[in-house]
Amino acid sequence: MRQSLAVIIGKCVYALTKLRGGGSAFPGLVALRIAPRLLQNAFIRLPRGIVFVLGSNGKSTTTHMVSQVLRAHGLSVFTNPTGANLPQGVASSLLRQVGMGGVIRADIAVLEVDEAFAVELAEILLPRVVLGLNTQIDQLYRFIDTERAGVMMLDAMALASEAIVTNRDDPFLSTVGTRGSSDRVVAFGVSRDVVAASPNGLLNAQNFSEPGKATKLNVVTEVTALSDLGTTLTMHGEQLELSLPARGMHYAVDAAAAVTTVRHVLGAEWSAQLAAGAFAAMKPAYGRGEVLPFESTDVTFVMFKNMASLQLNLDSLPRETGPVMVAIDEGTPDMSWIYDVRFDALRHVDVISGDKCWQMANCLAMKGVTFDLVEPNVEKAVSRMRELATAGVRQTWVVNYEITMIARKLIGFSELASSS
Amino acid sequence: MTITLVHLFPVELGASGDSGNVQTVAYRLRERGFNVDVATVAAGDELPAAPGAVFIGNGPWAAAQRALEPMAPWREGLLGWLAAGVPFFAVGTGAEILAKTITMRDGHNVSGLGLFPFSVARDRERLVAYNDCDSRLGRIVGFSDLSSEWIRDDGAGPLGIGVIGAKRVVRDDGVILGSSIATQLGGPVLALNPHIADWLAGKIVALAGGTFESTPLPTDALAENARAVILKNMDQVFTTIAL
Repeated sequence: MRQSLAVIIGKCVYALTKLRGGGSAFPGLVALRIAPRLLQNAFIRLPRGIVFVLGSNGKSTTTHMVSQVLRAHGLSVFTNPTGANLPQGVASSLLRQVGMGGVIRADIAVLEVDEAFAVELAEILLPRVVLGLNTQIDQLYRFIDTERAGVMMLDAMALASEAIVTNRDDPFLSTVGTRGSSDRVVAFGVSRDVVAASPNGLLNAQNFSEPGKATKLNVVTEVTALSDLGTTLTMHGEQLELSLPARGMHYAVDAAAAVTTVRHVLGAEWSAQLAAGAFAAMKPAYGRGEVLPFESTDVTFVMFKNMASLQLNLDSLPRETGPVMVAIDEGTPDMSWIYDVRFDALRHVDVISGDKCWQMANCLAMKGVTFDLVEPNVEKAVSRMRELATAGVRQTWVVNYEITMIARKLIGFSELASSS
Repeated sequence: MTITLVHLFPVELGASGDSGNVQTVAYRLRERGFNVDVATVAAGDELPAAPGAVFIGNGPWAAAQRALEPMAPWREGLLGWLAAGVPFFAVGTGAEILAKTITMRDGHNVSGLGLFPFSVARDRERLVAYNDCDSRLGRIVGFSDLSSEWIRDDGAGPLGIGVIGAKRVVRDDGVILGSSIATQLGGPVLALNPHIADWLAGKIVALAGGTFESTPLPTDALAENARAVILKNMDQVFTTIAL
């Protein structure tokens, strides 16, 4: 009764927020107030259980990959859209997709989950598999230090009822086997040659508390080659060629993580051919290398969240970037890490925008990157990029999450993030 | 004249964009015609012979502790530099391990190198916000992520008095000792406040026997605008987890 009431009221609140142009977690918050057990009750009838995706970077992309590969195998999948990874965000996703009874009708749920809420959600949703992607320096104003975030993820991974999928090359997450759960751990990794070919490596955080503690892991998937928009994964001695939704080694790592997870979930039902087909048809997750039409040309959205994601994206930019906009606002509260980024891939920036454009411009100027215009107002900045649009010359917009939303809307793509 | 900026433990103690402080001083010296080398120094390395300045940044406490042990043999050398007027610019936990004693949350004490005249109590409630600091070297605008209290020795003056965040919490910041600064301000603070970077650059050049003139640079206006945006957004709330 309470479940249905929460869903009905939540759906109404959702409709109202959508009318106002929002996509907030507020409807989920309201529904959770009415029915505190909303999530437990909603996720109770999933025949294949729940998969959690954790990590400092790559959660949305990997959740998308896992979901799409499972769908390619004929499963119906419930998932949460990018960024909706707090309990209220998961609840809001639920309200959009569930019937009045408030119970999810799908074969399996794949949820990206925020580090700070991973244990809380694992305790109530009892995930079958927890995938830990990476621990990278992220939101230190929030997490104090990276170790806190790493421990939060390790604690949540230990709550997986069936399997833990972890990253062999992550100094924190690779220690998961030392926490009494080694028999449930499967791992993915990247070959030394592929890492060596990357200008700045994997950028996983160092484990200063327990250096060298990594346990011996059963590595079932390894990234052994990387091409422009593709990768070769080696799984149990067999090679799997996959196309990637966007450029960069980090997307190959996400693919390895996703494939390892799906293969475990499906067991004998796994088909390499279906997986390859899913990757071939896969579009990038919201803002992550997404290419959208813009005037007479198109624009690649290169979204960043922290030092590692910006660096890995810059490292994989094509040689010709076309006109470039870099934009950042208060959605990235502490941006001191920009000084640790190597901007060699950007010789020149056309427009720097967002509330924090001056800090970015100051940093780029001292690093020797030239630029033409610093314009705090994103609408005006996009107008300038409009003037620079030339048919056949793709633009590159390097932007944080909040400006991705604003800029997409300004060029006519107001759809909220969706992993479906 | 080539000036060597020594950057201690940039990997372990560089979580707050601390390389930006080094980059700012290097940039401002180069723009005024000086040759600058940056020497990064970590465990097992030898200290350079003639440093122009010494930088150490902020990082997780586990990393600061890792840096502290290999620094012990350098203590006399670092004290000698400090006495000779070599400017130190130390931030966060990097500054804390150069202090006298660090008292941890569980009450146990860790001995610092004793270069700076203060002790640390790492038990304070966390405060994360923008900081508008009235310093002895002029106004400083930066970012604060505070979870420890610095207790200065008698006679040691703070760098300044900061007004922090939406609640306008008033806290002393840092220590200034001759040509050296220890601070809890992030940002990185020298990139945001080039007048402080120039104060250090002036000390560095004077020590080397040269003349430094704080001429305007094209980036000054960028930093000024950046500070203005921070001051406008002083009420910004930073969502954090508890200690």
